Amino acid sequence: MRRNAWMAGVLVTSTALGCVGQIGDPPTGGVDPGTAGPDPGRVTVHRLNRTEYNNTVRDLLGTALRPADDFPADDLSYGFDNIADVLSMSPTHVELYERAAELLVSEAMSLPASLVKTKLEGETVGGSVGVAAGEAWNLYSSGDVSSSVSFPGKGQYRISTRVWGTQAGDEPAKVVLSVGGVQLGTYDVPNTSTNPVVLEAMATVDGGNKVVSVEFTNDFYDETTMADRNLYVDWIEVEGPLDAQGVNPQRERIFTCDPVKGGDTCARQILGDFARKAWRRAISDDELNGLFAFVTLAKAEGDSVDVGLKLALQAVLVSPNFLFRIEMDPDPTSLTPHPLNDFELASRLSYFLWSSMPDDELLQVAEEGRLQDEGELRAQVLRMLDDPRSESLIENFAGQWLYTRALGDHEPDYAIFPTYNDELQEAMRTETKLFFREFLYGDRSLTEMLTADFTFANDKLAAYYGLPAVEGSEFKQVSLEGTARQGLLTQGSLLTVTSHPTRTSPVKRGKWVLEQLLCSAPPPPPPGVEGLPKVPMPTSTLREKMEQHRKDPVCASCHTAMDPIGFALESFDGIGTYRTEDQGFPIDASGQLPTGETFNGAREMADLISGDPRFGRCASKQLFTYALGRGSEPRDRKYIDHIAVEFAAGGYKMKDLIALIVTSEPFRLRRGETVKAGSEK
Amino acid sequence: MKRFKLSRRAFLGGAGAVLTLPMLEFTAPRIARAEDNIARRFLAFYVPNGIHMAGWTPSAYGPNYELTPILTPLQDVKNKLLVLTGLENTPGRPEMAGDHAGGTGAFLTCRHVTKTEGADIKNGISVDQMIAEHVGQKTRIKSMQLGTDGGSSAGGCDSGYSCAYSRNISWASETQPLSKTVNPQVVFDQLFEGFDPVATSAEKAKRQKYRMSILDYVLDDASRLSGKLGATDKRKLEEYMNGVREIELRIEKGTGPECTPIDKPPESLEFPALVKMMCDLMVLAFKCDATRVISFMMGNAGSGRAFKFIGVDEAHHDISHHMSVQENYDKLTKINTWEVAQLAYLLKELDAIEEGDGTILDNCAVFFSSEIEDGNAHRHTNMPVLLAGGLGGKIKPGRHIVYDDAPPVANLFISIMNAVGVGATTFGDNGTGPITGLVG
Repeated sequence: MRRNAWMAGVLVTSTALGCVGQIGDPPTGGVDPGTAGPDPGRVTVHRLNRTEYNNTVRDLLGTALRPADDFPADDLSYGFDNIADVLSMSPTHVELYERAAELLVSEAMSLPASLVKTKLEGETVGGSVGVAAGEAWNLYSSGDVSSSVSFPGKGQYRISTRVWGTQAGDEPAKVVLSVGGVQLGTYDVPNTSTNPVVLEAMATVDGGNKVVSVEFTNDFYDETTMADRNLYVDWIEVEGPLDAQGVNPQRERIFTCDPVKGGDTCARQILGDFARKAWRRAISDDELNGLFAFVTLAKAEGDSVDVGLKLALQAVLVSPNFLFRIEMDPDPTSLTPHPLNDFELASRLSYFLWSSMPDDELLQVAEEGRLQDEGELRAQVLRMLDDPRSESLIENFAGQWLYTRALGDHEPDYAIFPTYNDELQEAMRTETKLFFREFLYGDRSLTEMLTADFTFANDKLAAYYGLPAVEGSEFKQVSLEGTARQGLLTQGSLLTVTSHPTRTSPVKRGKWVLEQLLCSAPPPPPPGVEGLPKVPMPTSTLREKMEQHRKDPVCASCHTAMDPIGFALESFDGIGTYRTEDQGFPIDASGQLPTGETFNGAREMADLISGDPRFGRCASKQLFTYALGRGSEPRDRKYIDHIAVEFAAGGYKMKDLIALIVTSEPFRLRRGETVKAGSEK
Repeated sequence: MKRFKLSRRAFLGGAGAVLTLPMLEFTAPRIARAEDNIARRFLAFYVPNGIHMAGWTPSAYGPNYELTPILTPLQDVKNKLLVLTGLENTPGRPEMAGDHAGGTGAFLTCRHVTKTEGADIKNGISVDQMIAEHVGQKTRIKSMQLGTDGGSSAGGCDSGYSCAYSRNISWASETQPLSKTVNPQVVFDQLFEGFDPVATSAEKAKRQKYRMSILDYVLDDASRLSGKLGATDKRKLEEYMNGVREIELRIEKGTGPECTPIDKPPESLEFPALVKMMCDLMVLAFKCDATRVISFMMGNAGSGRAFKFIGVDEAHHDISHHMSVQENYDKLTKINTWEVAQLAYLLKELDAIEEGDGTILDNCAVFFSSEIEDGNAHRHTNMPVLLAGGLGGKIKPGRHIVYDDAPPVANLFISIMNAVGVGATTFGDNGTGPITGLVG
């Protein structure tokens, strides 16, 4: 199949779309789009990916823990990490889910730490050097008195120590106080045994065992005069947490009633409320009974109700009802479409817009059966976009669509790009995020992404781009008028991640535009022809070397589409710095698209791409894929066409596009599947 | 119960504690066939982007061959090593482009994978999992999948193939890749999970009971759900249920002989230190008999890592398209030599631990290869293959074997499976029977 497509490409090299490759949609063995009625397709049961897991436990429990950071990476398909079909599940996952549930529940259910005072006597604890001297420890040369202390919970602690010195030399004894390797302060101690001093420092410490240390750092001894500077440590005291509120807000959120007063009824209520949120749907009496059985079990083992509740909450978090987004078909083998139920739709909506669980209001609306109403659905979309959680669209959708996330994986060669560092990388990332944000929340046409005469910069980035100075590290909207830059394609983040570590790659850049913005990815080169020609040509520009592509008709079929776009961006080096020369050769940023239009420079090229009707449709298709968590198939074409037409008619507003997708049949309906041979184990 | 609140992680931070691990011969059902008591182990070691073969293949064959530049780090374990030349793994050939994904998919399965990013994802069960099915019940952990790279966070992996093919080499079934762990702290916790020396046996028993009650509950949940789902969804739930059952088995196996852990790995490590740490953890896993089957990916398919720490600043994948330029050959030789040095470290460590009449390495089969032969030509013939260890007397190492008839890697896998007691006669797309020559 692919071979034929490629051959066809060779035969029609002179036509505009000679390089056919993956234009349109991949073939499928599914329902024939020509003969069947409306077919919304189906989404495979969706395991929460790492981002979704972290966000969900954040919103469910109010935790700052991110257990999923330790989970195996989620595999990507179609350029996104939320594609249900490849979100696999392994024993390692289950093991880590179990561990995470225990950790999360233990944190959420912990009783607030009460204030504890621990006093350590110097002569008992002893030091790294020295000798016990009565009721104190004598550090007779530089060294420390230190001991591991249990801190009952995160909070503010007072660390104090009573010390004095025998003084000698031209400075007083110096003491460094530290907890867990972190210095709290350095103190001059001119005091002697007649007037010992109590040094005191405050520290914010996580719970657990930490080493508290009193260190003597400036030993002095003069052999001739026998002048000797030593430090005596009488005691060390740790007191805290001083800021314990007597309340664990996470626990308060779970305890919707007081089981001490309410007994089993209350325990059931707590479990029911929690499971409903965690499973994102109403729960049955049977399910509640199953959870309550943990309380009974704990009691039978002689443990408290609290222990039973903890077990039940852990079970909720390890349950497939939590880990998967489950959508039921009345008849799993029927191809007749049916609407999702309200809860299922609520989850689709919240994981699309928030990468997280539905909030109370959305769950309530679903429970009342109002989400099937299109007006309500639209109202919820607008409400949810107003919520900061919708920034996940920037991080997760745009981060993957526009490759911003790939910045962290890319390592430009330090010798060639010494100006590139973490700070610049972060500035580039922030620029593209803020830029996309403008289109997500503002009222701008998405096509302006390519033509915008503004961007966002802080002092560092503005200087880097050679823009008028911006003060401070805060990002501000700045004008690009009169510069070579314009829109997304000239942003440092994109120019960097589409380069090799040592140089630009016009092919990668051109391919990126075709693939991500026009959904017209060229097919990969045939085996054995990747890379630059093997005879180095030190006297030619990169561009001249690449002209090789056009001489060979096999290469030319695709490279006439990719390379010119990349050439237009040659004015920017492998980390997006503007340049007029490459290794001494002047940059030629002119070119011609396969459609015949000519351009000179990135701005003119970007203008041409922004006018390409494929751009709006491609953006629709990308967001459709992300929203549903599945690849689009031929049968989706009519839906995407419709969405793209409406998107264009409304002036390419992102909010319109989101609403169009949410109200489309593939988002609101699903069907069962025929049992395919071999798909059963 | 109070003690259970102790974070295991915090607790295990100290060095030198004595940990308990499962008994060597847990109450596993005896295999009907008579077996010796040798703990045979399998480890697959994957490196991406092929090998510079001119610097790899020894010129002479038999026991008296000379190590080539890339193989030099293996000097100390040369007598425990087989260099196997001439094997092919042609099921790894993709449809048109995608040799890295196709070759990686086929790395341990010898299957031609379906070119897709969607629901029709399909490979085959991998050799390590075939072996794990057989020996896995003897250890607490059936098998481990380890690696160094989670994978890039944006963009496709390879030419229309899902990243599932590029980032996993262990497959539990045709449709289920087994994700790898790349965080050494997580691996450490997996190995020493559940250890609590201050808990009384009554407390341990209660904890075990509670954990089992949770897992039983969620298993019930899953089977109730599964009954109402379509075929594809059901398959996902089955993956989950298999995982839960495996964790239940681990809990049931409880504790056994003692094993001394290494220090808890730090939060983050630079690549060379990470690789060494993963090697140490693999050695420990075998030494403690926590598992007998491991797969390790020292990079994902077509990795673009820059090996700056050995003076190679360009991306590995870019250089691997060497275009016959000498400078690229030199850089590839550097990278490949470093990769082999990591293997050599692992082998030497395994060889330093005595077991029975020999060492652990003598009871292992360590398979080392890449997804393709040459990085430029993307061939799936003449694969770079090393096999280290004696597999408990089933392999006679210390030779360079050259095969003229291009036997499939699948046949090598059949031999290894047979040696550990898996009675396979075919494997993958092209495995027809055991390979010749391994026993000398």
